[in-house]
Parts: sequence; structure tokens; C-alpha cells
Amino acid sequence: MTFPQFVYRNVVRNKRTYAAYFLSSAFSVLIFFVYALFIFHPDIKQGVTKTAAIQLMTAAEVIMYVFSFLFVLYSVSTFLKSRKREFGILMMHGMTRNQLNLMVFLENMLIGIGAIVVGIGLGLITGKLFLMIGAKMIGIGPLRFYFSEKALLLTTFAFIILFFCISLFTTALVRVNKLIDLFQAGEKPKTEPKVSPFLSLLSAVLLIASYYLAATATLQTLIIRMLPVIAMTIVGTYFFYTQLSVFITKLLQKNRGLFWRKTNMITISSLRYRLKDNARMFFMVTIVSTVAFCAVGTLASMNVMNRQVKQDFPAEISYLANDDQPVNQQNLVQIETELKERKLEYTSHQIPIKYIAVASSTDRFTPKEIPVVSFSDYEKIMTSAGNAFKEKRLAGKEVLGMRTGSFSNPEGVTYTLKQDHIKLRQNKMSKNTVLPMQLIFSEGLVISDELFEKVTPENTKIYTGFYTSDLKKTSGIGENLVEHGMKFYSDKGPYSMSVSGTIYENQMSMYKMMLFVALLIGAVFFIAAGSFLYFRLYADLDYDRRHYLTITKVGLTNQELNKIVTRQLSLLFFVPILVAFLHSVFAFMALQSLFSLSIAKEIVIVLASFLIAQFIYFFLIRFRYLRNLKKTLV
Amino acid sequence: MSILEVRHLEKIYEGKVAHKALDNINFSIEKGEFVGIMGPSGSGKTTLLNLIATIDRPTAGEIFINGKNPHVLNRKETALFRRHELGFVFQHFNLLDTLTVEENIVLPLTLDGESVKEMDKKLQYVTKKLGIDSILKKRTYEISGGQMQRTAIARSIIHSPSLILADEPTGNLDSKASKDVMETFTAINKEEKATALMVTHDPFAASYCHRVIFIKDGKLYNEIYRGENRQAFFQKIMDMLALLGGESRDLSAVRL
Ligand SMILES: Nc1ncnc2c1ncn2[C@@H]1O[C@H](COP(=O)(O)OP(=O)(O)O)[C@@H](O)[C@H]1O
Ligand SMILES: [Mg+2]
Repeated sequence: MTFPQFVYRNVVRNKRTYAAYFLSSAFSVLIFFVYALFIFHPDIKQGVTKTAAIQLMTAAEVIMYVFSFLFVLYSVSTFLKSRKREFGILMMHGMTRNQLNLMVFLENMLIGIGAIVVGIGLGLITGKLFLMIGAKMIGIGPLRFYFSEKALLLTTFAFIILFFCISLFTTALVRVNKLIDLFQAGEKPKTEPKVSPFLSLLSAVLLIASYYLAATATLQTLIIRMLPVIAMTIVGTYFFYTQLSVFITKLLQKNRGLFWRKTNMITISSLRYRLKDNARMFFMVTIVSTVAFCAVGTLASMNVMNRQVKQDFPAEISYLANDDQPVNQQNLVQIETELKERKLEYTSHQIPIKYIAVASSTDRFTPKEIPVVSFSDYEKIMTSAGNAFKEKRLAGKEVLGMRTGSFSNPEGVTYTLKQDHIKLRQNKMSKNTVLPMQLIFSEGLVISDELFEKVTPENTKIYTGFYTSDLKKTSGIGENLVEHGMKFYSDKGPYSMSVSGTIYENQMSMYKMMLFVALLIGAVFFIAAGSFLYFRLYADLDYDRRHYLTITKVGLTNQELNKIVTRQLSLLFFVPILVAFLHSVFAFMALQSLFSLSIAKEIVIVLASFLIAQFIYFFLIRFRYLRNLKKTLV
Repeated sequence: MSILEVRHLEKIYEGKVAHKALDNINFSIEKGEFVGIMGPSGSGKTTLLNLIATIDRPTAGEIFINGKNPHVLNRKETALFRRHELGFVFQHFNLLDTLTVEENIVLPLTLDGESVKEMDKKLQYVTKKLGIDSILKKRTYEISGGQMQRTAIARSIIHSPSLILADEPTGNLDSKASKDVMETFTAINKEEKATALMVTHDPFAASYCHRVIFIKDGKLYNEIYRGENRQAFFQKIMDMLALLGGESRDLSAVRL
């Protein structure tokens, strides 16, 4: 056996220990490679409209790379820690520092190159599938499988560099001061964990404060609060694991009634050491999982855009004619023809919008004129759009602010009209969007039918709404009249117009692509978090074996052992996930301020899927762990 | 010439309360000698062995192995010193379970970059001698405790070290395996002229030594020589242990 042979055998035969590290590295390579295949796909590059997609994917590729780097580095360092004893034995037999470094370096390169080969191999096998799913998700036709050399080279080189740097790093990580420390690693009884009441308190304060700030964030405060809240949460979480949690178990331990009952004593006391030992791991898993949940949850919540479009644009096609040029008549005819060609059933309504002169207003900025619609017309629009209409009929000088989108204008403004100095006080916004913001570009009022008859307008515009039952089917109508489904209001143009189907499709394709990216990144982060747990568990396996061996000697039944192990593992698996859930829930509460529609359903679905995935992972690991443990106990 | 010479050795463990684990230890071991170290639990046996093994550093005093003081060497030289001059046998065997029996045995030679042919030759020789030549291809979890310890012994002698150090080599073995292991030690000591220092608290194992040094509370207490009769030696060891007040294993007598 020569030295390189020795290194090779050491890796290949030690599959269990290296497996998690190897597989997660290979997985990183796989994802990176598939992304690269996507980016370098000629069909994608040709679609000019998808430059945003390419940019987003490129950004995701960079993020993936940076994360892979940190991830592999962390994996390696826990991995090396679990091998202290082995290094001790080798150094006992006269392995020099250089040989040790060389060994670790070669091992890493071996694993790294293996991971690159396996990752790319899997990428080639599953590439077709990924391209299909990806193409579907970002809303382009099916992509043929295209093998891109550039993607292959990029992946290979990027990861060779990555593993090379990591391998160099690791030699610095194995710092051996005294051989005796290496040798007795894991044999020494662990020292009592210390905690500071001050830092425990600080952690509680930071977490509560950031939860409060997140929960009460509004559209205006969100941007200012975001960074401080994130920083506070991260610091708070760190001290939560290193200080507060240990502090709490210490209090539990003082309670003899609880502590001295059955297996509680064993669970709580080892939990304390475990918390302290694993604090950094818990912290990392929590943060990484939170990022995964938030990435996927944020995107999933954009699913409400479907409903949002319907809300912002009550009519599937809205057309606002600024004047009575013949072109408007032609356009309306064209729209009707197109609707008929598509065999879409539709209804349409025309309502007048009167622009009346304003003398003054209590608003900061007084418009020269203000558009008004009558209450009956508002009702007509809403019932045609299929909304249940329940608002109280206006009478006399009662007015409502005209809602033009999800976000309301300030309420409580009084307008004084030039005509007879009529004062109109707007105390409330209409419940629903009357006219889309993009078409009218101004605040407006809904007024009572009598008043509408009475006012003399500076000019009158005609609004036409076309209503169908399926918004998506209107996509592409009036392509020559609008750009991306929208013609914005302008002073000079003869009309403004919106086509909900096209708008929806545009938003959805961008959204789907982001979701695709977020899902992949979320999956990578989630799997990474899982492998952190796995590493940790196997790093402690030796110690645990001895620990449980002692306990079983005292007399512990099989069921009791199962119970203790299950409880401890579930803590290891679910404590960080639950904390991450809590963090995410508050993050989503802040996010909610961006949406007018509730995103609760989407969030619950996302979090539940993650929880199920974690359960599956938990049972898998528990099964393997118990089997491993019992092998030595019988 | 003495292979091992220990002079005024002192070891203090720093901590909340500094603890003097070894105090002015002096002794030497001649070439070809097989020496046992005994003492009650906590008397400093492992500490002494660790210092000689260059795993830990002494607070004061000197150790010479083959005339060289390993504690004045730099890190690389210490590693090479260990590789060439010392062989180790441990209570917990400390075999690498990723390697087969034969690979574990040749490990010190592998680290030294010896040719495969030479390694094979030495491997055949020692494994025949230790009676483990039939299990060379097995992995460590497929063999018994006694076989593991004999594998560890083979590993400790394959590079013909000046001094073999053993810490409780029979501590994890049953009586039959202990006997095998001790007879193996005796054989290599006789036939290979190997010098060995063994820490044990098992009087049965100690009775195979030429000489047993007793320490108590970190100080040399006494030493006794074997002479011709092992049975009588065993009795003397038992008496000495009784005098020391440590735990003694009455049941060990049954094995004789
Ligand atoms: N790393 C250490 N730190 C502090 N004290 C130690 C350490 N190792 C051993 N000791 C103490 O030194 C004394 C001798 O220990 P040791 O050499 O292991 O005894 P033996 O092997 O004879 O049972 C004991 O009292 C032990 O508590
Ligand atoms: Mg000892």
C-alpha cells in the first residue's frame, strides 16, 4: 500500500462518513450545471424578450456558486472535526504535518472530482427533463436537449477551482496543537456549558423587537425596517441558540419534579450539551432554512397576482377614449371583431366620465379638473365584472373617492368645484377599483346620480369596458393598439387601454421564471440544511455510542432507548425548522403589506410542504441512526 | 546502553487546581527488556506513557530514547522520531476501520514511503510470527478483540522500533485473548530482542514482564524483578498491589 493508495482507500471505504458530503457536493454541481445548460441554450438566448430571464438566471448561478463555496467549506470543517481521533492515530504512527495536509488535500480533490463527474453525469441524464420543466415554467415552447460545451466547461472549471480552494483551506483547518488533544478528542467528558443571563435577555429582546417591527410594517416603513430587522433577527437567533436556549434548559433542570421523572433526566441533560455543541449548526440551519422558505414563499405568494389583475382591472379590456376622433370608433370595432373571432362571450358597457373644474381642494396638490363617474355607472361596472356589489347608494352631495388600484389615495379630502362653489367631501374610497390607474392617471370621484346630471363638464371621455368570464383568453387582443397589454394615459394620445389577459401573461411569465429560480435555490438551501444536520449527527455518533452504551448498561429497555433517541433527533431536526418557520411567518407578515390580497393560503402551502419534506427526512435518518447505534449496543 | 532513560520527570496539569501527576520519576530500561508499570488508578501511569510517547510534554525533566531527547525536536522531527523509534499498542486498539488488517499493519511503512515489495516481506514475517496471516484481507470489524490487538502489535513492530509502548493492552480483552496477547509480547521480546514498556493494572499481564515498576500518587514506589518462576512473580505482584491499596484482581489467579 503506497501513500496515494492509502488515501484513496480511506475515502472509498469510508462511504458512510463521506456520503453526505459527497452527495451534497454532487447535488450543487448538478444544479449549477443544469442552470448553465439553460443559460447557454441557443433557443433561450434567441428570445430577446427573455433577457431578463437570462440575467436572473445568471445572478442565480452566481449565488449558487457562492453558496456552494460556503456550504462545502462548512461541510468539510465539521467533517474534519469528526475525524480528530483518526488523525491522532495517524500522527501517532509518525505522520508528519505535511503528510496530513497532503492527505486531506488529496481526499478533498478526490471527492471534489468525483462530485463533479457524478453531478455532470446526472445533469446530462436529467437535463432533458429539467429543460422541459424549466421551459414550461418560464413560459416558452419545449426546448430540445442541447448539449452545450460551454456549460460543461464552466461547471467543470468553476468547481475544480472551488474544490481546489477548499482543499487548500482545509489544510489550515486541521490545526493540531497538541497530539494529546487530538487523541483524546471525544473521550473527555464535556464541560458544563456556561451562559450569560445578559446575552440571553438580549436575545429575547432582539427577537421580540424584530418580530414586532416585522408584524407592524406597512408599505411605507417596510423598506426602512427591512435591513435592521434582518440584522436583529440574525444576531438574536445566534444568541438564542448559544445562550437563551441553554439558559432555559438550565431552569428546567432545576425543577426536580420534571427533571427527575423517567427519561427526562437523560433527555434534558444531553439536550443542554447538544444545544451548546450544536448552537452554530442550529443557527446556520435556521438561517439557511429561513432563506429557503422566504424565497419560495415570496414567489408563491405572487400567485395572488392572478386575482390581483382581476382586481386592478375590473374589465378584461378597458378602453378610454380621450376625444371623439374616428380612430376610437375603429379601435372599438376592431376589439369587438377580435373578441368575436375568438368566439369569446362578452358583454360591454360604455360610461361617460366627466371632467369637472376644481377651484380648490384641501389636498396638498389641487388638480385643475377632476374626473367623476356616477354611482349607477360604478355599480354597472362592478356587476358586469362579476363582483357582488353591496355599497350604499350615494345621495345628494355624498361622494366616494375613486379607487384606481390596490392602493388607496388619502381619504378625507374636500374639493371645491368652480361650478357654484359646490363642496364635495370625500371621506371614503370606493371598495373596488373603478378605473385602472394606468388609464386615467389621476384621482377621481364617484358621485350621486343627481349630482352627476347637474355638473357641467370641461370635457367628457367615454370609457368602454369589455367583460368576459375568462381573463386569460383575452391575451393578445389588440396587439397593435397596446404594448405588453397596456397603453398608458397620455395627454396627446387619443386613447388609453388595457388588456388583462396580456398583462396577466406578462406578469406570469416573469413570475414563473422567478419561481423556477427560487424553487431551485430554495431546494438547494433546504437540502444543504438537511446535510448540516446529517454531518453533525455522524460527527457525534462515536460519542453517542459510548454514551448510550453506558446508559444501557444501567438498564434501559429498547423502547426507552428508541424514545430517547427519537426525542433528541426530533429536537435536532425540528427546533431549527420551527424557529425558521416562526421567522418566516413574521417575514411574510411584513411581505403582506405589499399585497392587498391575503397571501396566507400560499404561505401555508409552502410551509406545509417544507414540513412534510422535513418529516420524511427525519424518519429516514432516524431509521438509519438507530440501526447504526444498535449495531454496537447488542 | 539503555534504550530508555527517564530523569527527574515531572508533569503538572494546569487547571483550576494545578495537579502534579508525576513527581521526580527516574528509571531506565535496557535493550531487550520487557518492563511493566503498575499502580492504582489515577497514579499517573498513562501520563508517564504519554510523555514517553511524545504525545504530551513534560513540565520538567528529560527523557532519552536511544540517546535522543524527542522533546527538543521540532514538529517534523518529532513525527519522524515517532515513526522510526516508537511502536504503540493501545487499550482500544486504535485501528483504522477503513483499512484491512494488512493495510493497518503496514501503515507506518506506508507513511515512510517504503517500497511495496519490502512492505510485503515484512508483513509476511510479522504476521506469521503473530499467527494472524490468515486474516490479512479482513476488515477490523470482522475480527475478534484478541486478533485486533495482535494486529495492533504487528503494526507496532513492523518497522523494528527501538521501543514498544503499550497502554493497558489487555484492558479490553477476555482472559483467553489476554493470554494470547501476552504470549505474543513475550515471543517478540525474546525472538526479536524488542524492548517494551507496558502499562497495566492487570497482575496477570504484568507477570509476563521481566520487571515491574510500581508508582503511587505520581511517585516511584518500588520495583520488583521476575526471576525464574512466573507464578511466584504473580504472587509478589499481588502482594505489592495489596500493599499499595489499589484495586487488585483476585480472580486473575484462576487464569494461571
Ligand atoms: N488532561 C488532564 N488534565 C488534568 N488532569 C489530568 C489529565 N490527565 C490526567 N490527569 C490527572 O492526573 C492523574 C494521573 O492520571 P493518569 O495518568 O491517567 O492515571 P492512570 O493512568 O494511572 O490511571 C489523575 O489524578 C488524573 O486526574
Ligand atoms: Mg490510565
